Amino acid sequence: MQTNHIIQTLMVLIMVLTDNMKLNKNATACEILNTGWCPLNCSYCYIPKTEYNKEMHKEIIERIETGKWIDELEETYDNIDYLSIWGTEPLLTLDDIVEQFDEAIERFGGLEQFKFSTSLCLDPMPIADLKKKCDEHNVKLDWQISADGHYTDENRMEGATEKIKKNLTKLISSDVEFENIGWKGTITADNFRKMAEDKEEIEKYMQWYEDVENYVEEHTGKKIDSRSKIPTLMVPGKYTSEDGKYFADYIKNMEELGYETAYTNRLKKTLSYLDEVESKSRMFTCSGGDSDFGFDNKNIHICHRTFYLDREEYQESIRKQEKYENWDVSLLDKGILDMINDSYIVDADDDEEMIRYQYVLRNYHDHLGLSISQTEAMVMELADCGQADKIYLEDEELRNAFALFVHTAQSCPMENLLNTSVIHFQPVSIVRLWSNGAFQELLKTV
Amino acid sequence: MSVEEFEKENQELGRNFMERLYFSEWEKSTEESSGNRNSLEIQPTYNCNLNCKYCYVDRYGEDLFEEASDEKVLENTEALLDWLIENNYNPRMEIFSGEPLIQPVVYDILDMILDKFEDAESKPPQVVIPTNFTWIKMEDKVERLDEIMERGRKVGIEIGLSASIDGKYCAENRPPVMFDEDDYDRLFEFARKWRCGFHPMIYSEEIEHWKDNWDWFQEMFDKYNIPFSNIYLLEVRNKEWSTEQIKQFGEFLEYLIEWTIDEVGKDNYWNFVLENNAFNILSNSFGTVGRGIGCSIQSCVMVRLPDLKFGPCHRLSYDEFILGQFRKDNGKVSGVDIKNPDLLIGHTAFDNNYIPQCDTCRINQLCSGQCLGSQYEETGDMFSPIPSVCRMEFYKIYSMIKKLKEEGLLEEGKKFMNDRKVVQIEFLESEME
Repeated sequence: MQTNHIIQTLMVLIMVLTDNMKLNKNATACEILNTGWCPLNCSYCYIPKTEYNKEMHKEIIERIETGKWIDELEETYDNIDYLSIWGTEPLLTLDDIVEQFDEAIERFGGLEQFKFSTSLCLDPMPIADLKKKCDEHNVKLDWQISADGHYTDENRMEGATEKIKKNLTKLISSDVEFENIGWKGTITADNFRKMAEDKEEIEKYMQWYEDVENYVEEHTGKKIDSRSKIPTLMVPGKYTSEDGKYFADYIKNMEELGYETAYTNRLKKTLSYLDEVESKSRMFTCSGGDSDFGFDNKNIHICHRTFYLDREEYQESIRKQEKYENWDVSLLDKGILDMINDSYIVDADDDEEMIRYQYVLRNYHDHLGLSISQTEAMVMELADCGQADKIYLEDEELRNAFALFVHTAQSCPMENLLNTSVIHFQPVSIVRLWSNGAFQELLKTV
Repeated sequence: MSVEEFEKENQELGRNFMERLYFSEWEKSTEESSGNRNSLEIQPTYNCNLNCKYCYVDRYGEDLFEEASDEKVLENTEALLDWLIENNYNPRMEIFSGEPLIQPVVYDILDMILDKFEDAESKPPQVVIPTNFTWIKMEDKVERLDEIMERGRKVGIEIGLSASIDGKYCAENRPPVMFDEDDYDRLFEFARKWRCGFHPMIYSEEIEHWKDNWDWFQEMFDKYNIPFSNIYLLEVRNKEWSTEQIKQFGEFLEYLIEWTIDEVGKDNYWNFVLENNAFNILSNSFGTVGRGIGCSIQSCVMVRLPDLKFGPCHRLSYDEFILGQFRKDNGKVSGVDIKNPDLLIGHTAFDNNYIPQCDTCRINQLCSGQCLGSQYEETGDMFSPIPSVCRMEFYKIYSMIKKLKEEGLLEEGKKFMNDRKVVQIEFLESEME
């Protein structure tokens, strides 16, 4: 035992004394904050908008323009392979990033991939400049347009569809070739309810993308090379058992029309690698806090989800709003934010804290037992009070599979913390959503 | 998706859970009760006249508890007690605080409990108060307590005091109020009279004095005709255990086993462990509790009287972990509002063996687990074990197994344990070889 103790102590000392081990060796992906505000106000956005967003935006621009972000990243990361920019609307400062791209690549010793998502409602030409830079440095550019099919104007902003058509046309008209453009659709409960009640809505949803791509082709003479248009859900949401029933019908309709949902592949992956679940749990959890971290102002976040929330003034500005419009702002009242700021947003220079932080994160990513057992208990309680299919009280095998699926397909440590106060516990909203027929429908598709 | 409907379903979920798990249990008589989920802990304040070296209250008390006037605390107590009586609930009650019995409001609460339940159809079998006994120096308080204890007997509610004193040789851990010989004599005399229990904490500091301390406790028990087993030992599961202190703890446990064998005899050893709880510390690795974790977090509803909010336990009643609140309408409690159904269900249902690290630990069937509050303080996650405490728990169990083996008692003990425990004991035996 004494030997073990000595080895453990030595390991801790090595981690503390060796700068390049501030983050674990798997941490090769980094999300940085490059904007503070957005011209849109999407119905499902998790970022409450206040006047203070503009203040933050100025501060963030300054950090980008002075190149401080490159210094800070270089000091913290041993190796960055994947870099993504996050915040509100990344196009607002993308030209500043492009200006410093050469230096960043040189200082990081190369980069495999650069990634971002945009509403494409602003001038798109910085994307063309970025693409050229990426090509020069042999960096893969992975970018997505956030648009929700024919619900785009409803969910995001009236006129958003027209802006996307116009800006995508402008971008494709440039002398830069784009391949494998991603569409990132998010659907709300209202959206999938419509798709559940009427299959035509699904076709309309898919058709919207075709229409946009055809429009661009007609105006540029170039065919768009794009990826899947299948939407993901607004999560964790505040789903009711009725939402869960509609969601089951939505999955059924998708299957009948020959579309896979975004969750079919996740279930297939879990089933294919079932033997690895216990020994390689991290294969199935979100990369946040494992290989990927959020990084802002020398603070390490599990992911982009808590960007801004470490700013006291921003929190205050949200609380001062007369009406909480955003769906999860109520979480700011619960003292959870103080806990997150104390324990889950960590100063990258505080070695002792970094060790503690990564110990807890490993406990999340490498040990699924507690999470799965909590979901099993939750689904049984939901079933007991009529908010989930009663089958979960009787069929242990199905219940096990359900809990495993929920934790592997919907893993989000940050939402767990924000909604339940515990990094291992899945929010009840997600459990309710999947336990009213949706999981059984999904099982039929694999 | 409607936020109102979502909230409504959460309320139904949480209330259904509270009703089924706790409130229905509170309706049962002591004989019918499963012994789990039958307690209500009320927390009037966190004030204390001591500053124990290992205590969390001094460091985190302000974040854990709400302050309120005595009037407010009494008003809420009355509303809560009326609600219990109206519903024929009779949970075993516990008054927990910093130090309850130096605070005048706690005496008022005790009077109120006895007044309200005097003619009630069903009564709590017991009101337990862990106390540091420093009031033994104050004649008026001793007299007042004598009256209350006497009245409790008449009303049919046992007022059970449990002495939170660490013993003469470890008193340095509990400054600033110190007991002299006369104080100890009065304390043990009071304990004899009212059959009080003792629950000293075994802390890393002063651990080298625990053999002397144990002998002292037993001498005092002998002197005052108190049963030798009337003591509950629990190690402080904070991070600060050093390797040397862990070793000394192991030595104390070996001494304790030796002492126990002398006292009860080898033939009766396992009976004493399994039937009489063996000072808790010698039994909790070998028996089972019928819950997911050894501590009372899954058997008790902990309510802060200043605001009637309830949390997982007194060491986790931070705002971020508040599970719900007893709702008051027109001054009367009318039910519960649920704030965090996820944690309410999750913390009640979890099993120690699923905790990260514990899930793969080779002594997880023998270990009684760590303190979730302490884990939260050190790691920021109530479910992440503290490595130094793991080492201490490992050595604690190792030392006991080693001593039992040396004494030739281990094989007999295995007959009373489940297979999973036996496998792990045999692993420890192989480590010894």
